[in-house]
Amino acid sequence: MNLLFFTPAASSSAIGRVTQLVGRELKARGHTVTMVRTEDYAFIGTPPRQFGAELVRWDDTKRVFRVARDADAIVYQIGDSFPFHRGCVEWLPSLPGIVCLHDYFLGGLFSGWAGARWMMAKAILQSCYGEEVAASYFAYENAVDFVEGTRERAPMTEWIAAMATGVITHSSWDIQRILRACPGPVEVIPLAYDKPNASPTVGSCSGPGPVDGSAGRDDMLILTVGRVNANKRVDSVLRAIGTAPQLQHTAILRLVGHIESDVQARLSALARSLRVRLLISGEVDDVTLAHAIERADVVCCLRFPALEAASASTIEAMLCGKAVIVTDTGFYRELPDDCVCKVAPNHEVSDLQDKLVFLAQNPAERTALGNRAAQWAAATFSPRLYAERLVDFALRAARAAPVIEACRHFANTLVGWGASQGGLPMQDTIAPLRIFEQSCR
Amino acid sequence: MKVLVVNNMAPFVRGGAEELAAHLEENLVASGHEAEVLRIPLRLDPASRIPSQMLMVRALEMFNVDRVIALKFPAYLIRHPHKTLWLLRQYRQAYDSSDAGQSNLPEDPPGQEIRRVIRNADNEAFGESRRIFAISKTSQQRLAHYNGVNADVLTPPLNDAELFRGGSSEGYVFAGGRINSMKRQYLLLEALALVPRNVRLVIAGQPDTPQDAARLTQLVEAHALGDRVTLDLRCLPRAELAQYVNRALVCACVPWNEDFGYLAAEAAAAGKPVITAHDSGGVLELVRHLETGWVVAPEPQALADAMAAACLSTTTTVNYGTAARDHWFGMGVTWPKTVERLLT
Repeated sequence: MNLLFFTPAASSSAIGRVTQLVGRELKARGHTVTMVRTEDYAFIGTPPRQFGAELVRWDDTKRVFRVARDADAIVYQIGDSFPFHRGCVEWLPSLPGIVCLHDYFLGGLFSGWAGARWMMAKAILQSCYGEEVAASYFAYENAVDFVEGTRERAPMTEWIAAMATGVITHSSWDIQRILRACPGPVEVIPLAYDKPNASPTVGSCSGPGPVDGSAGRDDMLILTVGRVNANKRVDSVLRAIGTAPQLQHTAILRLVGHIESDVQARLSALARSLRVRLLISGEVDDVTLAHAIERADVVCCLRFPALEAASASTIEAMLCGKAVIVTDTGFYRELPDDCVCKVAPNHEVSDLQDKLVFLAQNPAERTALGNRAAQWAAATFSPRLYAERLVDFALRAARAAPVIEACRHFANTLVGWGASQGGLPMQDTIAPLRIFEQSCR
Repeated sequence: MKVLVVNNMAPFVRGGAEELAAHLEENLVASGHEAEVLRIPLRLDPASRIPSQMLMVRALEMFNVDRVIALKFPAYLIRHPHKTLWLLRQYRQAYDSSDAGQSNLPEDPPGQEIRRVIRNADNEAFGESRRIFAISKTSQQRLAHYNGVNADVLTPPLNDAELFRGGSSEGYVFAGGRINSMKRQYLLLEALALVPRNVRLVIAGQPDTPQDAARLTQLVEAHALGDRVTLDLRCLPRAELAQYVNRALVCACVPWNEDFGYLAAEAAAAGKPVITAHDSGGVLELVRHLETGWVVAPEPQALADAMAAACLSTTTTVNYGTAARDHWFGMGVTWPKTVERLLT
């Protein structure tokens, strides 16, 4: 099979890494893979990952059409970042394909795309969510309010899913939206991931290293990975540590990932006031990140609200055999209870504190938890399995494609006749088309 | 030329339109063309199923066809680069019937949406047609009023004119054709109760619903008309229907705003005058008051007066019938001319 991927290629994109892993497995099975890199102009010049495949820029229209014409299946890797995924939303409407959905919230992607197409964006909002949502969507004053105000009412997953010939997602917590919006097959396949920069002895080398020179061998190093924003719950981690005498002198919190200066200042001040040792490393390369995970005793992957279909950093930490703490929500809730520690979001600080104290006082349990996580994650988040299931899925989506085209044709005809969304008695209108359902799902 | 006549069908139901389509096919062949009738299954009830059936018709693609002649909604939504409409029937419940409060389309938003979809689809189909013919001035005016379409009138010839040769009268008033509330046969029964006992009425045709049949039988019982009324409620062979016409003294045809009065044309061919109503639409193009029949108010007393007059002076009635026949044949409505105009 000849598969064409639209994907970020920058080394800083975890989704790009997923594509790299899956592409490698596909090629090993005799398939042909071609990549269209999708970053916006600010990032498209960055050094790409080595996919071992033809790499085309999304804005090279002629070449994109050429490789698309030769493809048996087109796969779009879509996450909530317009700078990384612009090429996907530029091409998906005209070259429909399978969407691998990495986030259940796509407000950032949509907002970036909407910048130059305000009228079209408003029409999409009206169509997906109604007039009221469309009127208020762009009126939020800051990112936190925007996410909070739109994540349930207008997460924009329907926008992407409706354009796809099929959707692969990596957890099922918000899949009903996809099932309602996508006319083709929908399937949950565990994300493909690995630990490429980890040393062979990963899991056995935890404990502070040179970067945290003030730490002693008995200290517990807690790591949080990723862009530092409100939903990473760093405030709560600091409070959980700072209000527990058992943790205050032994726990160190390290943040790895991009952080805005004002956030850094605020968190540093909070840590000082709570007398928590806080290390802020900022954005790092893959090797440094892998090293940070190796050094960590506990990886804290709290998220609230959860917006993603899967978390690469959580999976990487599990693959590295770390004790991982997650919020009992979204993708994280679907992880096995005996492989991670789950924190109830409505008792976040106290619950987290209990878990941290337990892990601090029971190093053996910490290790055992990490070992179970590593074993389960290696069996689950397998690039080989992902590649095999992707090929099967592509065949299903190809079978469904003519039916979807027919449905789109009918829908467009009705719209041309003045039908509005929800205006017609749709059950009766689509009833004659149900004969196709068996081949579509 | 390969000509495809496109019409609707309800399985195992045949009416005037089916006969007309079949005769059009025959006459196209007689004119040297290849012709076939494509009948597209249609069910208009419940109304919520109408859009899906419109979509199905719209999805059909015709090939190996030089011309399409489409007759009815939604069959005329079929796509073809050389499509002629000979419009026997729009879905009037989205148009004038709706305005008159006689529609199966509900007034709620879904009903309004269906109405809008039907009208827009019609406009699209009309816009892509090479020519549009209406079967009467009534339907011509409706098209102009609701759709802004200028159509030419092309009156349908009788399908089987040889059956309607006339004959001596057996003295009854005859009302034939489909039976439903829009055809208003019930008015004739209410009128019969008001006329002298020598007037007899025959109603023959297929009721659309059991309720339509029950309404008539209940009226006969309520007014004790059993000895003066024959209700022959079934789908009659054409020959039997023609026999009823040929032996009638006068025919009655009082539908509400009918597109075209097939029964009036058949009556005229048989030399029978027609009693009709002011609001009977296309029937009025064939009936002139006190010349070829009676045109009165759609009320029992007015219809009773007309029926009584027809039965009182049979000489006048026969004369009206002769004038009706002259008027009909004077219109020069023939199949060869019709085929020629449709293929122009």
